[in-house]
Amino acid sequence: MTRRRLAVVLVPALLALALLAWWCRPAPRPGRVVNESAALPHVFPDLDGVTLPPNIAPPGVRIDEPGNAFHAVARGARGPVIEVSSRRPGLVFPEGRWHRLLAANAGGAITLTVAARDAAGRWTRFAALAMDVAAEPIDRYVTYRNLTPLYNLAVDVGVYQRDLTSFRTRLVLHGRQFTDGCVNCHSFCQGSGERFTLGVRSGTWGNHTLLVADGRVMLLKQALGYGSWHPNGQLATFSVNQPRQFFHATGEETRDVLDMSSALVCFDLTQRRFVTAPVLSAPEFLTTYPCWSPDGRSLYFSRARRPWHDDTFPPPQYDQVRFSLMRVAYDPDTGAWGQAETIRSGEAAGRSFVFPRVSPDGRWLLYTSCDYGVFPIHRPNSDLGLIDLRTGLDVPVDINSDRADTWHSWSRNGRWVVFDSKREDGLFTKLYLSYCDENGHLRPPLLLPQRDPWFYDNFWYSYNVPELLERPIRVDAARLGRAVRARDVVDAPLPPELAKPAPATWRGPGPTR
Amino acid sequence: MVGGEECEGRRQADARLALFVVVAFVWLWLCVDPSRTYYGAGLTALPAFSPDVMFRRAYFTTLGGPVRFVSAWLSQFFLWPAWGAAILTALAAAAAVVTDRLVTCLAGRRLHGYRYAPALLFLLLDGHYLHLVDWQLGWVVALAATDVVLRRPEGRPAVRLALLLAEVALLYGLLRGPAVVAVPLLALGETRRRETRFLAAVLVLWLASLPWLGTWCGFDQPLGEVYRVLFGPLLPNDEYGMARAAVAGMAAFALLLGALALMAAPSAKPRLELRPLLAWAGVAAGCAALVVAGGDRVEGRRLEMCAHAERGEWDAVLATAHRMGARDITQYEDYNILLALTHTGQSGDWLFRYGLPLFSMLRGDPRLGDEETILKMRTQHGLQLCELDLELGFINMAEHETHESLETQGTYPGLLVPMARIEVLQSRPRAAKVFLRLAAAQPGDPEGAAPLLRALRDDPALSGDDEQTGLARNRLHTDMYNDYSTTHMLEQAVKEHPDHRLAYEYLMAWYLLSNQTDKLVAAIPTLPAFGREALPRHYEEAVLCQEALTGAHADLGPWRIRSETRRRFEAFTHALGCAGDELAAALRVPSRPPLWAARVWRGPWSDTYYYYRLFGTSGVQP
Repeated sequence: MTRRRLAVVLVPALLALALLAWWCRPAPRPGRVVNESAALPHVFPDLDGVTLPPNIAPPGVRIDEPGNAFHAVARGARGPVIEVSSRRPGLVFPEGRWHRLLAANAGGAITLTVAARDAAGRWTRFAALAMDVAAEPIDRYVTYRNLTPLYNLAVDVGVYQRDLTSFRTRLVLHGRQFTDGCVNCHSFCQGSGERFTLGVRSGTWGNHTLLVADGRVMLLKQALGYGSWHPNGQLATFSVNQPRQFFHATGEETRDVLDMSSALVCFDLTQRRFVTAPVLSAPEFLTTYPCWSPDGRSLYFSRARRPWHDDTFPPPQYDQVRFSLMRVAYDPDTGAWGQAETIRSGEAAGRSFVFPRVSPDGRWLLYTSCDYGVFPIHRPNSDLGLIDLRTGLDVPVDINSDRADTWHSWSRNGRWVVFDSKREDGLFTKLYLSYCDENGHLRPPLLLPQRDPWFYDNFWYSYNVPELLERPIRVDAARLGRAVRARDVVDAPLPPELAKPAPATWRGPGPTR
Repeated sequence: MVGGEECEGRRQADARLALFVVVAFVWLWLCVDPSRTYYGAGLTALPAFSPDVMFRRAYFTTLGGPVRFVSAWLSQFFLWPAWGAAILTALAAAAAVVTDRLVTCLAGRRLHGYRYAPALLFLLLDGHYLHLVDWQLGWVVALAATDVVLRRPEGRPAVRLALLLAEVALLYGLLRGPAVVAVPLLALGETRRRETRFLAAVLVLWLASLPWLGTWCGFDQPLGEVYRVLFGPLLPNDEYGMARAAVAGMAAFALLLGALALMAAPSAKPRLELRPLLAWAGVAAGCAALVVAGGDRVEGRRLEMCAHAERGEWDAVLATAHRMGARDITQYEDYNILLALTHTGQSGDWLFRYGLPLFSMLRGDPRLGDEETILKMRTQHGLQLCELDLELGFINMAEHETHESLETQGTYPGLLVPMARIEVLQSRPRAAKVFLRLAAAQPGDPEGAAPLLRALRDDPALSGDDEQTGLARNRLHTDMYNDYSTTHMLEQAVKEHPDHRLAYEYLMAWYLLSNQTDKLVAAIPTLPAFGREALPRHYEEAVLCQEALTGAHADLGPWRIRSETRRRFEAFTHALGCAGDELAAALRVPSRPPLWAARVWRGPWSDTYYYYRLFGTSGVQP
């Protein structure tokens, strides 16, 4: 190699190395002289007082305090002490050490002490943020939908699966895979990604439901709504809705959704047919949001008397529809249904009670209440509510915000709840993880951690319909996409007694969350 | 001696190319004006760009995504005409250079004229405002990569096969469509080598596997679109027909290059294909043809109007409308013209000069055409419609429109900043910040999002911002759930805000276009003056029509009808040859003229309301 060529190679390489060294130079750390502040630092996400799952990934922390260098120390009674520094107001904890720290302090607490350096080089150390670490882990995976705040048109809707112990996220299915389609309700059997259903809608490929069970992917011809699997894994109950969206000319929330009709059907996997019962599909009622009890002997759902009798849309009584929480007994051996009983009356309370979810231990029933209707995410006053099924009494829920809180799901150990909330900015729903102690007290929630401290600053998608999973979805996106496009559908007709099935043709994404 | 001639020939060829590039740049910059492509994004398919993680994920997990990502980023520079022209010129020049190298490699001799073919094709596409930067970039990369592989020295067949397959896979991953063109080139190039000829067969077989590859890859758009282009009906009769034909032309061009490799034996003596003078003349003629006939002037004016409308240059919109022929004005222009007329307060006087139809009002109308047309109309005008809704005080409607546009169009700064303003109006300043951050991260921050973001930190309601306070002042307060009817919304707006001039302009224009003269006449007594001394002409004409219909004088409050308007109407009825009940009968059912009304057809009254009422059409030829 000639000298000239050598120079051509070496000079840029040395320059690149120098640049790299400058880039990677260690951030300054506080010396001995430090101002102590009694105030808590402003950080995002809010960590003070939250309860952390012992297996959660380390949240990237943005420090909203003035300064040109930042330093944080995370420590507990046991385990390693983690120190991180940065010239930017964002701190990222090393995953391995973070997990060791949490594991060592499971059932205890950790603190996070933040310090910031001002322009004069003086460091200020703020009061420590205290976080509890639960003894019980959260389910490892959460499946959710990412979408922009949609109205009628949808081109970017996808269901994703996130590993909560890290930041690994994988696509389950995206609407782009079937010509600007929409993926919506997903429902899992016993917190397992090996048995689930997923609704798909597309102008080109039709509105159907993907059913994955025993490694097989089936496409049901029917478009189904909210679902719940019977614990035996052979029966899945769905709502069949006629959802319609309309819009308000004023007010904080433009969108509104109602079901013109809705009923429940059960899909029998062994016989591949839909069945229903009068208690589930009486035409004078709107019946939706099914949820099986863990023993499979009761089905919970929401029901309201349907006040309209024609197709006028929106019906003038749209804001007078209040759902009640209902329960009906079921005999898995004979398939016989009992009488519906009211758990909470929406009419009596002047609120609409929707989306019942029973904890896997059968003790708690978590639901959402809002001023009216069936779509709480569009009602800013939506709040979570909890009922102790042993006593039948309400348990106060302290984690509600002044914005919509809904779409909740339990972890398999019944100790963790994931839910959607618009509390941060009022528009983009985000996922929060809250610990439920043995008394049903929901602890201050943790925002779904992201590695990048500035992740949520320019993330303009909403998270919705989160479902915690013990076992992940293993079917890859391409296979699910091919199944949707295959037109090879299982044509199991809905029971004829159902009032009005969902429209057969796609009319935009319909209601969005 | 031969070497000297060759050197001189090469220099001259390079000089010719340089001249061509300079002319192309100036033409693109000053005549084509790439900023029109930017502002007409809904019509020209210019992609949006965003710094967020989902945007990156969408591009980098699909075939051809990386090139499209770079293309989306480059496209944002089209906002500045010189930058846009530089990018397009660079692509054309790069296409010329890599083609030249490939021709040399395949044919074994220099054929300088060939390189102008892809460059001209690129420039013609640009001149027709077909935004295909991703294709152009992909082509350049595909040809360059093919050239690199074909120039590799001989090797063992297995090594060569591995190299070729790796390149093919890389081309698909990076480029998507253009890879389809690179593969036949590679295959044909391989046929030149006896010992690796079987590789050509492998690559041809690979071509046959493309449909399977498209399905296997899972995403519906990448190769399906290319196949539609290459093997679908030739020259589809829609506005993308030219783009598709161009792509098919590129494939044919690639095959032609390959055919050269099969046919032409390497010449011992380099041959210049043209005498220098003739070559210069050819390039000059090419340049002249490009400048004179290379662009689509009608589309250019159309997009120019879009650009003016988005920048709020209303007088320029009307000036452009004057320059356009009546036949060239489509629903897109109608919409912009109405915007310009109402914003300049001229709708009462000149609404019927431009032949505006009813559906040029607030929202799209099914009569516009097929679903695709409606969607395009809606997405293109989503940007303007949202601003119009905001100005009219229809905040929730604006929110609706912007979110639809955001979903279909992407994160254009022109959309993100109004969205932020809406969020502030809806008491969601944190959500506003998300949109402003996205807008501020765009190249050049064209909408001034950064200053707004700074202002928002200390003032969550932006109460110190004049534009924001103006929007808040005119806000509608009465909920009309799911009632987006133009009449009700505008009537409510003027009821709540009697000094809202834009709402009045739109309401009265709506009454005129929808022939609701009774409502218009009823609104006149309380019509604010807005600095006017006399009633706008069209309102007077509508009053005269209403009087003719009812046979009674209308109560106009403080307003009077000017004598010249009356005289003109009398001249019209005189030419029509009717009066009284006969005239009332003719005017009663709008757009159903009796046969004898042909006497005034295309007469001097075609810019009046009564002409519009009678015939359902209007307009003066510019």
